[in-house]
Amino acid sequence: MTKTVLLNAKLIKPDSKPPETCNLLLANGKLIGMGYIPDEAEDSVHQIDLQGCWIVPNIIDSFVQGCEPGFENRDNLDSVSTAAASAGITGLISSPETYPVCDTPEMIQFILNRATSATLPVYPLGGVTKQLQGSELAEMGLMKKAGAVGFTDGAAIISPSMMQNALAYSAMFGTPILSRPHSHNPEDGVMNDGYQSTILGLKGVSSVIEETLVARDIQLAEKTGGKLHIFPITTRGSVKLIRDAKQRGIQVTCGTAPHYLYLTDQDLEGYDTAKKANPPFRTSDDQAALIDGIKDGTIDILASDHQPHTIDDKRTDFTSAAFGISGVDLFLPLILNNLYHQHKIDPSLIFKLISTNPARLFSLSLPKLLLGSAPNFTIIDPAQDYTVTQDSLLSKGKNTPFIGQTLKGGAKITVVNGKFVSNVLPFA
Amino acid sequence: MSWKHSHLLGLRTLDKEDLARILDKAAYLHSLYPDELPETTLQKKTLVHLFFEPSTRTRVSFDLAIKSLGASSIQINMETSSVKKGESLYDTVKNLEAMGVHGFIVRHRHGGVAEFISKHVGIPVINAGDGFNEHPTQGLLDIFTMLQHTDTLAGKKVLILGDIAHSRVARSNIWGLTKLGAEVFVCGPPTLMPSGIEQLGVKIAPSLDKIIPELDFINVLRVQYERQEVQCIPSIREYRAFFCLTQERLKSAKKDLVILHPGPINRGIEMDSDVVDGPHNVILDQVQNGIITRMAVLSLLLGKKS
Repeated sequence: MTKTVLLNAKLIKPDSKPPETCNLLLANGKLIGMGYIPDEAEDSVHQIDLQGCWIVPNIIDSFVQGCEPGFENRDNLDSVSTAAASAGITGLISSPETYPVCDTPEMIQFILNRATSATLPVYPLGGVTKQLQGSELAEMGLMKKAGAVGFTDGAAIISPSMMQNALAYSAMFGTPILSRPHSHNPEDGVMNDGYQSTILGLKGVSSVIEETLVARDIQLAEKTGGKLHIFPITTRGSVKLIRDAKQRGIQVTCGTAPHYLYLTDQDLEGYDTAKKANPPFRTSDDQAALIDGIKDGTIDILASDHQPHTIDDKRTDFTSAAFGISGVDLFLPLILNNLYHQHKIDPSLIFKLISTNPARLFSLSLPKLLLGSAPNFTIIDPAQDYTVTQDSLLSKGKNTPFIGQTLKGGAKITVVNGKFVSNVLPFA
Repeated sequence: MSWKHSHLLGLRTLDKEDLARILDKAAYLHSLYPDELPETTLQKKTLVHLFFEPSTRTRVSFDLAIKSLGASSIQINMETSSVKKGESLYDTVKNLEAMGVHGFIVRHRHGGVAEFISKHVGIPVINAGDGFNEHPTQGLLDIFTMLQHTDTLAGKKVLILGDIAHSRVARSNIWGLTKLGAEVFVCGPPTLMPSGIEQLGVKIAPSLDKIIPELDFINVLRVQYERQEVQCIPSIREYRAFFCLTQERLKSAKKDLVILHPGPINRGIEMDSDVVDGPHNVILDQVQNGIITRMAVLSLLLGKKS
């Protein structure tokens, strides 16, 4: 029996208790000891010293385009789950934007069957409406029974009465509706509206458009009692609207993606299509509001919003290029580099945003290490520098604006269901 | 003073000296036009017109400029080209470059296309209008035309009138004119005024009637229905009531006010017919100056480095 002991890492607890050093003893895919002091004479124990590292259970990336079925040229569930696991993620929530779209219990079942060979558990989101077209409700109850953890149309549901019905109906199951407060239509704008869009001659979409949808959905959630999750928010106004709504006791949560903490519309000089995101990059003032929202708990969740694309999808002019940034590979490095190192945010709060909070919202098992269980956890080295290169990205999507940058902090070891699925630093 | 740019993508990235260099070259060519022009400047060079959007005057103007310099040109009809078969923009330009052509003249409905092409080819790219980003040769010919009526643009008041939001001509004019010291105003419906326009160093004139008496130049823009995805003005009649240049409105103008229009004109919408044909306008001078300034640009980018 091979035993492995992970020594001297600190267990991060999302409930703000100070982290404690916690030695984990694993054997045959089970956690069989905590706080174990190894007997040096015991040769069969493989010891790994993790001084300076953190143990974090159940890191969830709660919005990922799995691209399968239908867009396997961009990515697939095997590649995205391997990339995510290597980057320290232990569970993925997948978007229904596949082809055919994931809007029936049969499609939910297909994704779950397909994901049995994936490195990580994949939890599918179903469509709110049929074909994600916003005009007829999809079978949310049957999809939930089949394993859907939430519902989204991928873009805003334009009709307020349809959104009202969706929230009211889904309230019956207590399953969240994930509302993306923007459209997918490039005619509505390809970057943030402002001075920069004016001088680049690109169609801008103003932050007020996002905020109008956020405000509308909050009112509808209040009226219906539906469980509303808004993702991703990118503006100061959205943070304020959600903060106020929470104070009024409305059942709303929200999230953003790490890349919104890095880039602004000023960075679009030169028309780099790797920086074309939807919603678009805003301003440094919006970024400051997002950080405040993270610190005060207004923002509940961070997700990578992984949107992989082929080189051809991006090697064209800015307006014609596809929206989206490939995200799973850099999810943890971007979060740690910005929130932990730059903004000095406590790790217990940071990991709440990517473990406890998504687990609660999508009714997944809560991040705990239990003796005798087959655990999911990640060993994080907060001090490790990674320089991002094309080759370091394991996702098929290489479309990231962070190539060439050095980020501090990332995963060292990932354990899923008690198995070591990755024990190398992805970019070391 | 040497010419240091490989492409002409816009006037934003040029400095005052660059503008002076082009305008001086244009003035020199104008003094020779048409009979004494040096016809061998660009001998054996071939330029490709990559026009993804309709154009009459810009394309013909570039073509005359190319031929006047002794070069040849290839017109690509996008309706019958491999673009229609789904070839990517990247592959189209890489293949044409591999055939040994010497430059691209690009027009496209999206901002940044000329810059995109310039990053992927090793030959000069001239922007002939990209979305509502820039139309640098139009900006140059407008400025060149204005300079035929004044020694300097410093302190001169220029109004750009109409649909600023969807206008590449407005942006190229603003970049060029402000660098040369002109005081630039813009006027138009708020729905056609782009965000942050004042940060470009221009002032928004709230009323056309109030600003007219102060002006030295008006550059009137075409109302562009084809670029408005969401309705921006309720009707032509209503646009006319507030923004059309009429004889009545021009009664308060300076005697030597000069009116420009990049064409094509919608007579009776942005400008009444009698104003188009009236004494203030220099629209046909602009057309001729277009050939001259494009020759200047072509010879700076493709001619022997002096």
